[in-house]
Amino acid sequence: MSARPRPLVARPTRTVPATLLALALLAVGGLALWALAELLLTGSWPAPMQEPIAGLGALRLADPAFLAAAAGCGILGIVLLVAALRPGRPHTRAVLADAVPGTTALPHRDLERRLRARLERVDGVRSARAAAGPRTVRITVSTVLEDTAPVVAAARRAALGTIAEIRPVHDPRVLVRARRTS
Amino acid sequence: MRSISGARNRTALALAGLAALTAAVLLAAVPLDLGAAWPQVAPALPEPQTELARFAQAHRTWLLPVAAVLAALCVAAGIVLLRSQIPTRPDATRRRVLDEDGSLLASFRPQVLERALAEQVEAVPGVRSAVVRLGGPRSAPWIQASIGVAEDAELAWTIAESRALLARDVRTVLGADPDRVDVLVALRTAAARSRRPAHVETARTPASGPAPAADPTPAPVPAPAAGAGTA
Repeated sequence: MSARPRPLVARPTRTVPATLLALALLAVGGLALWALAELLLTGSWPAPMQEPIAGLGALRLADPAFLAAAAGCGILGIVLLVAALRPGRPHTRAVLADAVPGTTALPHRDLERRLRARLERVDGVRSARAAAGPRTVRITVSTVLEDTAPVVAAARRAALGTIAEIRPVHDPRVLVRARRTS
Repeated sequence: MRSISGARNRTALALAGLAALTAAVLLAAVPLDLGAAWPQVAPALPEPQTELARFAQAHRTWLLPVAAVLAALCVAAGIVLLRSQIPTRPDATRRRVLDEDGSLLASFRPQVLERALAEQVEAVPGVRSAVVRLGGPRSAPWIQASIGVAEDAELAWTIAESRALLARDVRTVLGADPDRVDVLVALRTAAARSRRPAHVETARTPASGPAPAADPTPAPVPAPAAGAGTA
């Protein structure tokens, strides 16, 4: 009946660079088509483009301007290739696997919010921040206590408990650090 | 659930990147005197002191058609790429319900079943909202659902119950085990109760209030027949 759905735990789709590329292609291609059509129909370039094209035409092929243009194209090409080939981080994590086939996914930001809420209830923690990635969860707690070691230990226990509740398919590494605030 | 093809975007970006790098090499060939480094290409390179206008005039016969084709290709590729950024959902044709002899008993749009399944899931304690999408062939349907779960709910139980319910109900109605049941969980705070899970758009049901405390295994969607398929 229909194609398979997109996996819930997937790499980013690169929508923003693809949209920018599409708009650039449309702009450059449209401008070139208009100029070429004008040239074919009237025998001269469109009035607004005559001066820039005359300037370009006067350039010699060994001119440094060609090197600058080549450098620009090279940088653009590398940026586009990096955007295409760099996998990127999924926005979700596979969790709560059970006997039913398929995947359950939880957005990283939801896990971060859950961690924050849980950590801010730990004794000695004034506030907490969490940054969850596919492999690592980084937690920073702020405390007013002189000795931060017990706070870090308690925060780690709370974080591990919270993560265990969602039963991640791949267990992340949990890094906890404390920041003293006055 | 709508989606965008990441593979298509990445392929387009890679091709554009290679094209830009090729253009960079062509532009730099004369200023960097690549003919000295690679004598094989030297005959193809123009004189460094040639003016661009003179070069274009000398090669006008092929340069203009090639430029026109490239410009048209750029416009076409831009339109196709821009259109592909609009999220699409897989096709959903009508499903047929057959009896044991293969006679047609009824047909229905998938959205009808999706709505019914969403309502069933929303009756699971802890579930704030649900959006269900059904697809796949008659022998192996798939389900993709976005389920908003209260932050104070028993998450593991709620999700396990919802997935089992979806699989059971689809098996009951369509007569085939689902190939997969994918669930995107959105943890919902009390303030977010009225909000829907992200990036879902179909088979919406009225926003539900707090989940009922009893009846953790709601009745399945009524089973009309033994066999079902797509039109």
